[in-house]
Amino acid sequence: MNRQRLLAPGARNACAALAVLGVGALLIGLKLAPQRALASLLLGNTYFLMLAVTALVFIAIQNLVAAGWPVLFRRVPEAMTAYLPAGGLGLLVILLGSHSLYHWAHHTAGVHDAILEAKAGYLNLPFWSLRALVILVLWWVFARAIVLNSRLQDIDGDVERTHRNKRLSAAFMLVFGVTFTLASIDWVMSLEPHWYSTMFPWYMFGGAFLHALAAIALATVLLNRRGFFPKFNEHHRHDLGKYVFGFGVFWAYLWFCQFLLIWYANIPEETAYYALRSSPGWLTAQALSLAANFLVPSALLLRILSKKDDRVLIAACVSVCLGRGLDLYVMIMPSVAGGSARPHWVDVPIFLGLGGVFILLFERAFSSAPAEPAKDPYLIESLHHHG
Amino acid sequence: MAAKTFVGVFDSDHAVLAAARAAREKGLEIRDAYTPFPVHGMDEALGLPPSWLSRACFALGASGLAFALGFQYWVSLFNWPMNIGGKPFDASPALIPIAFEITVLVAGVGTVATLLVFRGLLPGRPADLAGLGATDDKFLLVIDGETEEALRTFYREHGAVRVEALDGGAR
Repeated sequence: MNRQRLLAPGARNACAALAVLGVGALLIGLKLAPQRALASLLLGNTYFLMLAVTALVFIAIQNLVAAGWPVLFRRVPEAMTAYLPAGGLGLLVILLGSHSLYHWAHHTAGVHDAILEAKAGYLNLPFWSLRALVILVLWWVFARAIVLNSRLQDIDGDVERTHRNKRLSAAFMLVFGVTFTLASIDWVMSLEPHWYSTMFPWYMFGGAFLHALAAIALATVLLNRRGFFPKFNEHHRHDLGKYVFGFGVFWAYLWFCQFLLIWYANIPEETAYYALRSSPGWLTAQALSLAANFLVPSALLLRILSKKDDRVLIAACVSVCLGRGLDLYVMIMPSVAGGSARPHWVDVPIFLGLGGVFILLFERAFSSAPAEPAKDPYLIESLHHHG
Repeated sequence: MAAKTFVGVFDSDHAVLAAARAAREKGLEIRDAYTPFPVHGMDEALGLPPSWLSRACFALGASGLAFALGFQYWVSLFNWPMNIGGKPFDASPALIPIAFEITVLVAGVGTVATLLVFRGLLPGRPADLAGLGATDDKFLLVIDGETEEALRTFYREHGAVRVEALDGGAR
């Protein structure tokens, strides 16, 4: 199969330049506005790290239910998991700067704060770091094992590898349920350590998985336009479109669940989160996020014909990819910026820098194996997918 | 057209799907297919036009939404305003879950009811089968053709396990 590089050398250099720009902006930002720079890093890193792990969730679900249709483009989500170690590096920088970013991390014994003292058994730096380490190692080990099995099958064609990946996927889904919950609480929710919401990890998962589906669909359609996956047809697009449509509604459902519970109960320590996010600027950001994640993709993908049309599908997926950034922006930034929703100059370069790193890692991983898993027993089914 | 109508009985969904495609390519007139479960790709193989049910579903869902929101606003603003937990009377977030449920209910039940009414599939209708087995484990294809011999040959070539004349049933 075709093993050509995805990107022209010029595009690759542009990604590398973005990555350098991002690192530069981060270093300058850490000097001038450390808290904001770290929050930006947290936003971008969470964006791509959770994309990488939920891409693995996509693979695991397909393995578990023995779905044949996505096998053709399974190398796309497989290559997305290559960001996981880089995400670990990003978290390490966040850990080193945690005193500037997380209120609970610099809480000193002299100040009396009953809530933080009660949570100190969980929210302390050694335990936080240990959890982050365990979470990342588990994600990376499962990703390596599942991707390696898939790639080795190209060589030996052993059907046992499909069964092994099914068992690995089952174990991964159990591990993922716990680790992703902890990850969303630790990395994002603990920015507001006095606040808590039992819906938060669900809401985070809804956004991350929707984003993974949109990114997989987007990458696959774009690769298909460049000549990859010649058998990729309108029925694959239809199914991907259904996925994005369905999870857009799911995300909105979870967004509303969290809001409704807090609005209805009206308890001050819970409503503080939304009170902070109801200044005119943040309301606009929330409205844009709802539109980009739910209204736009749902309206675009409602009809069967538009799910099968690659231009409409691309538009809906781009909207979700932007929406995920906005969603995280509304979750993270109010904790460091208060009522002002104005972007800071470090936000864009750091995000683009991490994007450059993600694309470079994706490209390297995708190019290092054949684009289609030629000896997967389900490939035939995927090649002749007819809705 | 004074054509002959014959029923081909197949053992698998793959066989009936392939036969339906071949029949359309040969220009034979397919009356219908009867399968014990929905066969993916069958609507395409039969050359069926897109269903209008999805539009009916959307219209039903939209009217369910309008009804649920309208009724709740009418009750809580005009008919019987009540102070609940100090919330304003037009407390929109509280109306969303019910509006959502009614939308889904009307769209779901309404679409099924629409299908049943428009296809005449209401209770009391006598069974109208092209052949036994369609409700069990067999896949049936009903085709019109010029001669009995041509139809029998076509069915045999495409792996039908049995060929039967259509005896009055199936429309």
